[in-house]
Amino acid sequence: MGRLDEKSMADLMRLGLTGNRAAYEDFFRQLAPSLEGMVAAIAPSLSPHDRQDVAQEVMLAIHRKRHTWQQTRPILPWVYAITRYRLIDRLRQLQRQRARVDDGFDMENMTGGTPADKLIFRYELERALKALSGKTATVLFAMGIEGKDVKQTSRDHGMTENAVRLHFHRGLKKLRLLFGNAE
Amino acid sequence: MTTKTNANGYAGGHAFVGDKWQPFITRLGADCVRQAGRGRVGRAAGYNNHSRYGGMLLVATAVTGVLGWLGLWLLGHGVRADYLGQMGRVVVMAKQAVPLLVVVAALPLVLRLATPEARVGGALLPLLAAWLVLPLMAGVQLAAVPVGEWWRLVTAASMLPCVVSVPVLSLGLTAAQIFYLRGWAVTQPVLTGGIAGVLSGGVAVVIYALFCPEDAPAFYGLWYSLGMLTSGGLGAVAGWLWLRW
Repeated sequence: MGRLDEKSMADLMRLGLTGNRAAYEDFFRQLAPSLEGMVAAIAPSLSPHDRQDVAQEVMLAIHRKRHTWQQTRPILPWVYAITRYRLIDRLRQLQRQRARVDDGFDMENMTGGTPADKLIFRYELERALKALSGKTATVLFAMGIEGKDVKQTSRDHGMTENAVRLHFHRGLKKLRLLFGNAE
Repeated sequence: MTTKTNANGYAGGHAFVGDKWQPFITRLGADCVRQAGRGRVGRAAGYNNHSRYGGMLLVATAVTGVLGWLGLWLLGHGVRADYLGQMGRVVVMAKQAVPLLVVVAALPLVLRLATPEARVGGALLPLLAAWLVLPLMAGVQLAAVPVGEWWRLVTAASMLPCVVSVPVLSLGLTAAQIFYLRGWAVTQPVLTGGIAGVLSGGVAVVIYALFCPEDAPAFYGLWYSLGMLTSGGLGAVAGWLWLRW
């Protein structure tokens, strides 16, 4: 998250709670770019549209829960806590929406990792495969698109299971690099 | 963009974001004006505290007490006739003092967890310690008698009413707390609901102890602590169902 100033954010929210519209809107103007940065860092492969959707969802949560900030305490930990809670929840929702599109593919077991990892995987796998080459692409295609497990992939393509795992993770890493900053 | 200087002297407008956020932020700003000084936001603008929580707990306790007394009376369990005379004995006093300790240990935890940034960690220890007193008392008594005696001590005629009553009596209190917490921003719904449930279980035990004829720690130490645990489990489920947002 970008550099947010504890004191100025606290002051803006304090005024906002008393009905000062200018201060309140400024609070969110300060927050918006930081939030977008945070979303981009956690889920780099989200489309700009989804990224904005997630950031907006978080801001709406902060708006709705603004009365739960205890003014004797710092505001940024409170902001981050709500952000974390809503962000993860929203990413899971998006992931479920995508999951409905291509059923029968067990993301939990494929990539483990954070919701962002799984999102990345779902979202851009097919496009990304074109940018990869050789065994890495073969493994990703077999596991990601055809839904084979490690054992079967190694049998079908004459590779050891460890090699399959290696190519799988290398491929994921490449995807992240390739498409993380592409949009 | 609103830049008008108002009563608070804040001119505003010093941060720039792209046009894409402006419509959304303008809507939030409209809410900010409309909701100022009203309801939760109005209270927060003053000093936000948990005074309502205490009030709700007291009301829920009173209602549970009255309804519980009625229910148990209809089922044929009256308040113990000898309660006032027996209360001075340590083993009898503990039946209410220890659950009360659990309540006191759980209370600050529930309130802390109402805010999103809360982390409890080691603060759980006092609650755990308070809860452990009853099983320990049961263990001490059981250790002093031969194993053959255990079954007779642990089971008693009122076992079933005890096991059922405590979780049932806890329901109203848990509901009241869940209702209260929904107005806050709980980010650990299961843990928060669970602790609220244990608290309710503690209150339920304090009430039930007025009716409970068993004074053997082996009996109540076991069933009371299990009762509070069950209430905690119910609270955790309630938290999962109703504290997420």
